[in-house]
Amino acid sequence: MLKFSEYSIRGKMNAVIFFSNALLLVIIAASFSVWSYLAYKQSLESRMMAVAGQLANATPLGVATDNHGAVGAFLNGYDHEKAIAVATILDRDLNLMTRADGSPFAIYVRGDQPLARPAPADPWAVLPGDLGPVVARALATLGAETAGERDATRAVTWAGNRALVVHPLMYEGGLIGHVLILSDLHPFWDLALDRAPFFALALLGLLAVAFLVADRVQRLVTKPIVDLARTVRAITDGQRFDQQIEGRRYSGELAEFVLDFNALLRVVNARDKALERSNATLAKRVEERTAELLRKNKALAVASEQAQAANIAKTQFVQVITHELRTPLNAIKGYNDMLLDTFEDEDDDDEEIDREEVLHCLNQTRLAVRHNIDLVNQVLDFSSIEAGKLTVQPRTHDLREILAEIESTIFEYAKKNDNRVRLDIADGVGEIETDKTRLKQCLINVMGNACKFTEKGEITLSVDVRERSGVPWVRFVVRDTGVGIPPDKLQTIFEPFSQVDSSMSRKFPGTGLGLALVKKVVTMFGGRVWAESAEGQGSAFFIEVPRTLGAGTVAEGAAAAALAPPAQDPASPCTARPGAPDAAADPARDRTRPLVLLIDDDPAFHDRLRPALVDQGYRTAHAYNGEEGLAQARELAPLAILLDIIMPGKDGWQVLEEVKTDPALSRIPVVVATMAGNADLAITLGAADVFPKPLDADLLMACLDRWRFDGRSAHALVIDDDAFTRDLLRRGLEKHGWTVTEAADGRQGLAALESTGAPAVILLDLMMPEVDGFQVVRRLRERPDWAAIPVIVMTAKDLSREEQAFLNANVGSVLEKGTFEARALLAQIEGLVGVTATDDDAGSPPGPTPP
Amino acid sequence: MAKLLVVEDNDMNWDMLSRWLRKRGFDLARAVNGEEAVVMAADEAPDLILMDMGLPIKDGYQATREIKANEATRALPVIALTANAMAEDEERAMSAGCDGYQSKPIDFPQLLRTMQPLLPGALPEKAQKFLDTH
Repeated sequence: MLKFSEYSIRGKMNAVIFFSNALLLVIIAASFSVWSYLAYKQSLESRMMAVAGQLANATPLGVATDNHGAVGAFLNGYDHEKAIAVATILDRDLNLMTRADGSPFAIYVRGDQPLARPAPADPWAVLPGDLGPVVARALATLGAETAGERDATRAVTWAGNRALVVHPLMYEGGLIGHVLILSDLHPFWDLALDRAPFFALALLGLLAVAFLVADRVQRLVTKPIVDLARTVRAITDGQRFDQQIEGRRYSGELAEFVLDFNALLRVVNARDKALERSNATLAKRVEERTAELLRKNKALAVASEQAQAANIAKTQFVQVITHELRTPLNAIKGYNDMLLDTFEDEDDDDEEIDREEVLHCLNQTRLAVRHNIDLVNQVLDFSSIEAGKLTVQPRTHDLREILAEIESTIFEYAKKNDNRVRLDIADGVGEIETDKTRLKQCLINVMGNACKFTEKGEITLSVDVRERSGVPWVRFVVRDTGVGIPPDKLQTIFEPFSQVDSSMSRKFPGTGLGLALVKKVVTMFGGRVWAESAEGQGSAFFIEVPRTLGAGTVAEGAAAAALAPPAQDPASPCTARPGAPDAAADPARDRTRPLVLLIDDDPAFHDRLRPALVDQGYRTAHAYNGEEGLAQARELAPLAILLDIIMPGKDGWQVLEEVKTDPALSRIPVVVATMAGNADLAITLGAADVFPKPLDADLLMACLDRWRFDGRSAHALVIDDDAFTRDLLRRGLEKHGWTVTEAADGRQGLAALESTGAPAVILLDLMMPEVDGFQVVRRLRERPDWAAIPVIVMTAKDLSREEQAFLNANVGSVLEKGTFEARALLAQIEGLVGVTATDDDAGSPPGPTPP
Repeated sequence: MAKLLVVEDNDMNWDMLSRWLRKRGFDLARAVNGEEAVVMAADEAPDLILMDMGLPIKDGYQATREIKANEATRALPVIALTANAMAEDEERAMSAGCDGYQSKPIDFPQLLRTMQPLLPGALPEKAQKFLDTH
């Protein structure tokens, strides 16, 4: 059974309404009962008084005459009055009037109940049941209440539910007795008992009505709540938070609730929408991310595959290279062993040394070594191009000149197989702006191949210029009348070592990298190369390059451009590799180089000396008469002046005199070159040296070098952990009059600086144990007395952008190991030293203008 | 006199090797590819074959397999000479049937020591002398 608090609202409402109605009904019924009871008692009393009055009128005669029969009849005449329990006659003293035998004079007992035998002590004992004592007690009470006036008084007294009425009996003016009536509520209870079922039925009916009313009323209250609850449940169950509850149907607290609930719904709905949107965005993003991830994964897989393929290719490449290197090495070692044996055997056997044999061995060794050097160089070139490190240095050349150089080189090749070489140059080929060395390398390679595969035939190099997309292209075609190339090999001849497996390699030895290199270089030029051939019919190799090549093209950029060579703009600006020596761009104009001013009216003199001077790391200025020479000397403040004596206008003597008397110029050394042998005069006038014409270039250089280093000891400090490199540099520098200090690492280098003082230049390796090159540079720049020492960094390291920037800011130049030539290095060194000489010696005219 | 069949396609290496071996008292025949090697192994009846492995037409591995498959030449000892010097190259040579392996550049004392037990007779006197002094 549920507790009340656990009832539903409906249940509670029903219970409350029903029970309050029922209570009301019960209260009404009870009040009514009490009221009827009291009213009945009232009416009983007055009725009994009336009956007593009537009997008092009727019976006095009978009493007076002792006619108990008549009196008894009167008394029994009221037996219809059911309330009367006992009626009898009392004497004047309110005692029971008796007959002679002691029995009551006249008596009526309701229901004709038999009387007991009269007892002398208590006359009332004749009455049945408890009536006797009740009447006696009531009479005693009444007697006490009405003492003294009994004859005139009608008295009533209640004993419990019973009412006792006494009425005096008067006869002839005198009191002769009393009439006594004892009544009770018997008829009332009979009536009540009679009506009880009806009453109960009515009550029940009323309760039923109350219940119905309660239900109705309850419905009025709870229906909106239940409706609302249902709506709310529908909304929450169906997750339909976009709905709103119709608020007008509700009033009071429910309306407020609906308002609040609707507000809540709006919030929930807004959140749902936001959530939905964010979910959608999220889903979209997840989708995008997934797609991206897939894409990246795929790219990664491809990249990894490529990397793997590249790795395999690299491994194979290395294997092939080692094989290719070992084969000549085998020969070198073998011949070397044989030579050793020859000389060792001599001791044992006293055999004559076979001079021819020894020469043969040495020649063979040289061939093999040359082959290996070629191979190593080509591999280096090859990998440099692959790594995007090889730069091209375009300069303008006369194409015919280049072709002539090629012809002279290839002539030797051609002789071997009795081939003729023919050049077929179209009119108007004119100039070409390209990297001559690389272009020559390619053409010689292709032509060399042609010579190799052709016997007693003809090799033709045809050159013409054709315009495509408004850009002039130079096309070189190398045709031979040799063995030709089978069609299946045509596809692979530009791959590295494609020749290796073929039987041709024995007959036509080569490094196997030549054509691959040609392809790489041509591609780097933004051009293309291809071959056409039929077996036995000779072959034709085509090389097409743009006539004008951008400066410092890097391999990567060109490789990309090479995918569509004709569309490429050959003049597109290409970036020079950062850190690469600028000097290489045009050494003759490199302002870091010391300047020599040539004053001579003969252009041939200028033409002859200029390349020699540039080769030695100088730059030149040219004047063709005395006036011009003096003007340039003032303007350019050259390191030295090379002066001719016999000139039209102002001659050499005058120029020399003016230079030496002008305070701004007097310190510039003047070298006099003359056919007029008047050396003493020249020295007297202040010439630093006099050379007879034609000039001996070496002597001139030695002389110029004196001023180049401006009297300071030409001392170089070489800091490199590789003993071989140090040795190489020391030998090279010493040959040019330098003294060299070596240091095997940064620490030693710094120690050497402390002990020997500042050198003219420091050649510095970067990757060294303990104190590396970067640290050395930092230390140098910290010390004021060291800060100005020019530094040339030589490195095999791939530099990061930061490292590059650091070096650019702090050192004179950066050279890549393995790519620079000794002479270029010397030019660099001497250029840098020339510059710093002026830097140190502020305001002194000798030495070139700082850049 | 011990007769060797040298299978070598590279002229310079043949020149070097032949000079050295002749000087040490060996009698030589040359094949320039695997095909020739198989034929000459049967025709020339050498005491031992020095076989370069990277050969045109038919490589040294294939030639060795054929020599070892032929009843007439099966007994001929074959020493592989190769400029490939990876461990797997030796394995590959041995599994092709070679009896010895020598990587290039050739270490002559070692080559002689490899040949010695494979030759039916003794090393030529000059070769033995060389071996003794190295």
